[in-house]
Amino acid sequence: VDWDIKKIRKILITLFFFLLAGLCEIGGGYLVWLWLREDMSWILGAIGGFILFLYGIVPTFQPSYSHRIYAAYGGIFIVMALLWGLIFEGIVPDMSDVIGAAMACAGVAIIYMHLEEEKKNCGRIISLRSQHNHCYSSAILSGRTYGNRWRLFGMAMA
Amino acid sequence: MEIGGGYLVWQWLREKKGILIGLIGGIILFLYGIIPTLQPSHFGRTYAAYGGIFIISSIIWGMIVDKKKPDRFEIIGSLVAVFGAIIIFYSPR
Repeated sequence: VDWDIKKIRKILITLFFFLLAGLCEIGGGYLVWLWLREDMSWILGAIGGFILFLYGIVPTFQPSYSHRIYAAYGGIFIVMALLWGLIFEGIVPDMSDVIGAAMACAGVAIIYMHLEEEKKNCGRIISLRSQHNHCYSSAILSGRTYGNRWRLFGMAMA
Repeated sequence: MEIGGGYLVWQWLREKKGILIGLIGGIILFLYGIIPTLQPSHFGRTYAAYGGIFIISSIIWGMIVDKKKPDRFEIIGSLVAVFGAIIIFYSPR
């Protein structure tokens, strides 16, 4: 893997916005929760609603496109939610919380694997111009042709 | 609901649709904050389990609204994530 500065920076920026979004969403949701479940003031609920609105804005700063970003965010979200419960409600996540969270993160990793793999293959067969172009555009537009990808994978392996 | 609201805000800021769309998105997000309070579990666990559902719904959302067909990895990945959410929420305690 070529870990150049630009790539690392992009990952860090992405991660930062994920964490920010998670804070807004879980924090906002928690305030609404306090209002309705713990019978606290409706003002908390209103503030929570506003924070939730902010949360909708944060992902638009992300450098790439929407649905897969949201999926990755879901994984981070799970971990943050359990941490939130631990910090603010003092509830220690039990074994199945931890196992479930780990599985969900594994799921996110699988969702992202295909992109990485496609990029890798593209790099290796860069000399085959038409193939490369196909691969390149599919990495960007997520156009899918399985047969082709696995054939490329085989070629790369060979 | 959450993804719907987030998507509307996204439309507003990234695709330059009207501010009205963004506002509607904001209201939907607020409603979304209310729904989890109906769940019979504590806060952290409810939200964590919801995160797993969130993963598969974003894939489905991308499929329906943006017309991106999910590939094998996305399908398997989101199923694994949902399974994780089920473990979190429904395992006997």
